[in-house]
Amino acid sequence: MPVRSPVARVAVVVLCLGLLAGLGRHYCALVQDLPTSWRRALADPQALDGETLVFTLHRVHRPAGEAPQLFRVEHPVPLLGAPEDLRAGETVSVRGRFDAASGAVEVLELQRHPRRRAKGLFSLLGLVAWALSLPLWLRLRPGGLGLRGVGGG
Amino acid sequence: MADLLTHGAVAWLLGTALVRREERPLLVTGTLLPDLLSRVPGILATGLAMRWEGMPEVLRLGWEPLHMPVGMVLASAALAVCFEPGTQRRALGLLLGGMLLHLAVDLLQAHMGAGYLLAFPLSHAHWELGLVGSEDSVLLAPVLLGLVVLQALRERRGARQGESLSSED
Repeated sequence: MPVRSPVARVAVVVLCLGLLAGLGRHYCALVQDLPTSWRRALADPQALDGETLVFTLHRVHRPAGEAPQLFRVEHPVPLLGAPEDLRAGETVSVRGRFDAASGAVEVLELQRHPRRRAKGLFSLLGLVAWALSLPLWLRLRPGGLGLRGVGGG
Repeated sequence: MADLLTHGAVAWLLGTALVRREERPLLVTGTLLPDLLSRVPGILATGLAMRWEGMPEVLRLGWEPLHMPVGMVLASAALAVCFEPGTQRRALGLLLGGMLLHLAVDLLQAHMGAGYLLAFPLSHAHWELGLVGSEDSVLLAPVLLGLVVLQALRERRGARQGESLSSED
C-alpha cells in the first residue's frame, strides 16, 4: 500500500479532494432541496402553511419593539409565542409551526443552549493545545511527514 | 459535536491503552480533524456569508461530508500519503480510527431535529443515540483533562525512573 513516488502521492491527494468536492456539492444540493425548510417557506408560503419546521442551534435577535427572531444566514425567522425572557445572543433550537399569513413561526418547542459559549471556549482551548503540540511529535523528513520516535530517528 | 477538549482527551486516554506512546498524537489528531475540517471552515464561511450576500452556498455547506464516514476515509487517505512510506499504513489507521472515535462520541448526543448522516451519500437518513445533551461535554471536559494530566505525570515519572535505573546499570 505505501505510496512512494511524489506523482502518485499528488494523484491520491487530488483524487480524494476531487471526491470530497463532489460530496460537498451533493450535500449542498440535498440541503437546498429539503421539502420543509425556511427557504421554501419564504419562497412559497402557502405551500408550507401549517407545516412544522425545525431550527437547530440558531442565534436569537431582538430588534427593538419587535418579537424575537432566529438568525443564522438566511432571512431572520420571526417567532410567535417565544418565552419573554429570551435574550438577544442566546443560542436556541426551535420546533415550530409556520404561519403563512404572518410569515412567522409559532413556537411549539424551544430548547435553550446556555453552555454553548463554554463549549466554544473549550474547543478553542483544545485546538490551541493541539496546535502547540505539533512540533513536539511531528517531523518533516525527506520522505514525507514522520512521527517523533518512529522510523527516521 | 462535543467540544474539542473532550474529543482530544477521550482519544488521548484511549490511546494510552490502545496504541504506542509515540503514535498517540496521531490518534488525537484524527479525532480532532472532523471538526477542524468541517466545523471550523463552516463557521468561518457562515461569518463571511453574512457580509457577502452572493457567496456560493457550497462554500458554507460543502464541508459537512468531512464529518461523515465517507469523507473521513477520503481525508485520512489524503493525509496518510503525506507521511513517509513506512508510516503511511499506520498513519491511515490512526487518523481514521481517531475520526471514527470522534463520530462515536458525537453520536451519543441529542440535537433537536438533527443527527449524523452515517451512510451519506448512499442514504440521507440521520442517526444519533440522544443519550446526552449537545453541550453536556463541557461538564465532562475538566474531569477528562484532569485524567490526562495525571496520566501524563505518571508517564513522566515512569520515564525518569527508567532513566535513573539505566544510568545505575
